[in-house]
Amino acid sequence: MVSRVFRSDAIAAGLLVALSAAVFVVSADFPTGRGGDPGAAFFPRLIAGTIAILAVGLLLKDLTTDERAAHEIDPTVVRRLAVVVAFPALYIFVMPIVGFPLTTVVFLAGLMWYSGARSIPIVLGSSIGVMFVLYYLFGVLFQVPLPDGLVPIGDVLPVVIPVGLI
Amino acid sequence: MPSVIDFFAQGATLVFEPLALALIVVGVVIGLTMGSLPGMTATMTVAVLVSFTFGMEPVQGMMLLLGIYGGALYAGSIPAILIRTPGTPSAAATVFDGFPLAEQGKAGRAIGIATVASFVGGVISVVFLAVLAPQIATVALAFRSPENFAIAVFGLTIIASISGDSIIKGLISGLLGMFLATVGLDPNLGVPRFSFGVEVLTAGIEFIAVMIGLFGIAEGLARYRAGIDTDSVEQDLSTVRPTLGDLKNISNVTFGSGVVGAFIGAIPGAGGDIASFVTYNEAKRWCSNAVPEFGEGNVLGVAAAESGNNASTGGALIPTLTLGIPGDSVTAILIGALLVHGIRPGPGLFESEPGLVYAIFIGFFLVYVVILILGLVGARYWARLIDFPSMYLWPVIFLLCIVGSIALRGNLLDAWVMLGAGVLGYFMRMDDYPLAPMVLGLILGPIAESNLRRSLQVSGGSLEVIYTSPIAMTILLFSAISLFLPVIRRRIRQYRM
Repeated sequence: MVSRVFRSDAIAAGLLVALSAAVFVVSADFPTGRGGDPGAAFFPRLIAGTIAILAVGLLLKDLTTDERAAHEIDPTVVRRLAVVVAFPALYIFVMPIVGFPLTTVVFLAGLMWYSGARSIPIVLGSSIGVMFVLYYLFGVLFQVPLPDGLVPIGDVLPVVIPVGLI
Repeated sequence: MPSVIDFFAQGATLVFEPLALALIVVGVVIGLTMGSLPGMTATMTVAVLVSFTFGMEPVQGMMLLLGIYGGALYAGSIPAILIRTPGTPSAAATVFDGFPLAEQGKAGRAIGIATVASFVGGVISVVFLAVLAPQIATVALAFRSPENFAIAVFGLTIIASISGDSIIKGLISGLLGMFLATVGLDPNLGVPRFSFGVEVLTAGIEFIAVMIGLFGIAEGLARYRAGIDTDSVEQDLSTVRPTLGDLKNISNVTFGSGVVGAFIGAIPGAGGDIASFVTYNEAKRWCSNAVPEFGEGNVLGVAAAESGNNASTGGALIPTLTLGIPGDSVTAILIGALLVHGIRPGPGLFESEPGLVYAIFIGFFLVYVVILILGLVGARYWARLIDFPSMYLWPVIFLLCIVGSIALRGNLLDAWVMLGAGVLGYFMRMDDYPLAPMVLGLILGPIAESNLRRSLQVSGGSLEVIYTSPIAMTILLFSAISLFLPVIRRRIRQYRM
């Protein structure tokens, strides 16, 4: 069932004021400056104060207007987006443990499948191909620390590169 | 003292070497490929692929990114003409006459015109850039902390004021970016702020990670929300080379739109989308007796929109290179790419890295030459990309976002920051908060803070140092005007109605 959230501006204003208050609390311990320097808390507080003023403006606008910002919430869409966000979140969490090669192939194949791709050879072939290209580009060429984990791709690649496959 | 010719020679030496030239071609091909896919913006493509340049020399990285920038902006016209869906927002005005031409079976002619107009607009903008940028930089070199503070404020206000329907939301977006930029070490005192004991955070939030999230993941989530599907196209594109008659017909409009587009592009925050709408409307006014009418498949409409949006690219590089203020979202990412290499854009760049600056001028010119060639030769192939299934593309883009963020500093925190920024960006988009000001805030916030505090330190805490500087006060006045201009304009419109 589709539900509607009214006053998204009012909700945003509340969150922004809360953020501003948190900035003031957290920056209370920041050291003061020397000479004319107003100190470490000055600029963040200036920003937070301005955000709070604008948030109040947003709230007032919301309270005085006839056309309030409203959003429809469709559970199907929410579920779809939650799954799509879960894919990269799980990837970042699992990759250091399981390793780049396996996590990448599972991530790509899984998200492609979830997105509607149904050809197993294309899904697997493209997932493995993209993984190899990125491993070579980032891991080998740019020296980004991409853990091998369960699949020792680092041992295989030097054999593959001279053959001209990558 | 070296002359301009020496600087051009230095730049040419850097560009005319095999790898840099190859990267220009590769960049244009990537840009053409991504821009041809409906909904893939130049900003998103550059944001997702910027990590490829971290391991390169600055000049090489710039050549790749400029190629992507120009290529994607041009290629946005292909789906705009063929399926009425602009590949990039900049091509929205191309739809007005491009699609009616396609409906009449003249898609090839429309793409040919778009290609030539993009080339002319792009070249005009590069000439503008090469002529104006060094002059502006020479003036800006005399700026001290108060003036630099004023410039940063100007950049923030102008972008907030032209980036959407709500100025309040634009400003909030910019301020959130400025706040995120305060995380990490204090610029004057060297103490950690808002790092909550997390060691990696003391080095600050990597703003490229935020940009990748804002433009890559947020865009992807919006696409998944709408549902992943694929458009298809059937058009005869056997010839896209415009006739001599067509070229003669569009010459004035293309040239005029190029000049206007370059000027608009030079306004911080006004990108190709604004430039193309303005030049399209101007052309419509100039040629009010045109047959067929604008909107019914007139090639002049396509030429005006495409010349205008591509001309904005060189214009956008003017404030980027001379003042360190991004001209549009793509140039904001270019600043990020240069910062990764320890190069800070601004007037000092013309003194410290003249070779790089002039290489950018020459390289950008070559980008448009490559676009002309590949556009005329291969438009029919790029057109087929419209059918490319998004279900394979988006997972790869998401992966590039993650790996690109990790590549920044080799830590996973940047990937989490990127994902967080993506989710935040999605909600902001849904609630009509423009994302470009946030990126600007991230870039300009630290410049504003360090220059303001340095000014205050020098003056013993008095703001006198700012209001006694005529340049700083003039710039701040312009900031105030830019902030209130949309409100005044709206009031005048309401009054007239």
